[in-house]
Amino acid sequence: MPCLDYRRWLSPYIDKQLPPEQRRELDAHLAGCAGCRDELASLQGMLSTLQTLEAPAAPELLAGIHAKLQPAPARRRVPFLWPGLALAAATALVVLAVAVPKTVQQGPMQVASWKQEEYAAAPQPLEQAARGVAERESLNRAQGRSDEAASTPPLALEQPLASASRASGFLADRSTQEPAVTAGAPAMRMEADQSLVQNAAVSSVVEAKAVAAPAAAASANAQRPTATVLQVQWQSLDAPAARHQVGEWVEARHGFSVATDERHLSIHLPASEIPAFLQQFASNAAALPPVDPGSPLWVTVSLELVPAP
Amino acid sequence: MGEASSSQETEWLNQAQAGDLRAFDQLVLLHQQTVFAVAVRMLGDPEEAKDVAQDAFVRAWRSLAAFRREAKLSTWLVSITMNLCRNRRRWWARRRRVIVASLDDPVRPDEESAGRQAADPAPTPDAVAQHRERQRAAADALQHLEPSERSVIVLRDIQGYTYEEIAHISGCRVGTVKSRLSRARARLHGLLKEPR
Repeated sequence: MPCLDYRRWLSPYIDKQLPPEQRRELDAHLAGCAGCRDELASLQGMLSTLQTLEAPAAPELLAGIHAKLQPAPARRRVPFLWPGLALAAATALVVLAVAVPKTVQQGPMQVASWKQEEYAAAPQPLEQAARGVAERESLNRAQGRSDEAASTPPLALEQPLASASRASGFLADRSTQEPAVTAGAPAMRMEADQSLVQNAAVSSVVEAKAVAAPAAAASANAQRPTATVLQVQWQSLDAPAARHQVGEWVEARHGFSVATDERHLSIHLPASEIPAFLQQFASNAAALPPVDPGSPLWVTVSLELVPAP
Repeated sequence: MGEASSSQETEWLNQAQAGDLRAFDQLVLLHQQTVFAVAVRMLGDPEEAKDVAQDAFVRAWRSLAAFRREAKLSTWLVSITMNLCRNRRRWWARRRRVIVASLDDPVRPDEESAGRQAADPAPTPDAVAQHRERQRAAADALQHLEPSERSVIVLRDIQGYTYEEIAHISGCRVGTVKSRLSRARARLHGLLKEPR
């Protein structure tokens, strides 16, 4: 094997991450190759230098954090005392809206599922993003927690699901065909109307699940928001551009997005922004159940970018 | 992590998750150096790093109820910070901001590193100067790496995270961390060997 190939092993070799067989082979090579020994020493020297790099001491952060936690709407208010200026600004906006072509593609983004979890811990966006679309794991965990706290009554769930059903005429209640997700907790699975599935760019199942919370998690957390998760698929020829587009939109609304790989984005948005998000991006927004405005403060949107055909 | 014990951190975390902002402030004080250090190495600009570090804590506070303790709090905070840094650099790129290639003051030894230097057997002024120069060059070269390469170097070689922790922070597999780190180190090594 040429030296160049052996040198690719040096990094894991230094970290003791090289499999034993390769390690022995590299040791044997190093014993007879001065060039690779020099390379190893030089690389180790660089890493030693990096380890001694010190960042400047952190400045005072708390005051800025508290300032940023203050509600922001006041900054957006049009100054009432300057009606002329406000009118001019509004006119300019209208002109811009007409003159500038809409850059956001209304393209085939489909909300593939909608889930509301009524227990204290909302899904963690970063972990969830790392898990991709494996939402069922969280349901299982919730189930485990529910089992632990079986003696405590679940939180009431009827309202969000009932309102969801009412608002989504195309959704068919199949709850009787599904096993309950947790003991004593209603589970509901709703499948999209076949015609809608056929029309959808992405064939998708729309499901809404609710997991009752152990009220134990509870006593302190009873007032905690529920967690709402929207799973969204979006066809795109240019995934980076699409991620960018959504990320920018979200950032402008005090949300944040986390791209964990090339095709998955976990978005954390204030619940109040969800209708605008759906209107802006999702082509099947009208058919979706509304996010219960009373409970979740933040909504996680798990976005999967799928290649356009 | 700072001076607080693990049990003390857990207590603050419990209180913060119950909505106690003062307990969260203690967590900020505990982890601010780590968060800021990551930000400053990723962005190369202390002022931007301060802003991102504050944003990271703001976002952590807002989603603290979601933190399920499957990872250490510090790992979670660093994960948020890395993502914010990546977004910030994209924002710069969109606006064609020239990314600062080196820190004005890349090395400000704290007490710990001063202690390490003191423990060395009488380094000569020349040796100290050379070491400083190597540090400056490394910090400079780091800013020329691709963000994904820089992030693994920062996490592994500067912050000392394990491969598994980096995989968790970056949302990728351990094997990806290994190959990305190998590539990033080779690139950085190459940059440092280039005549300047």
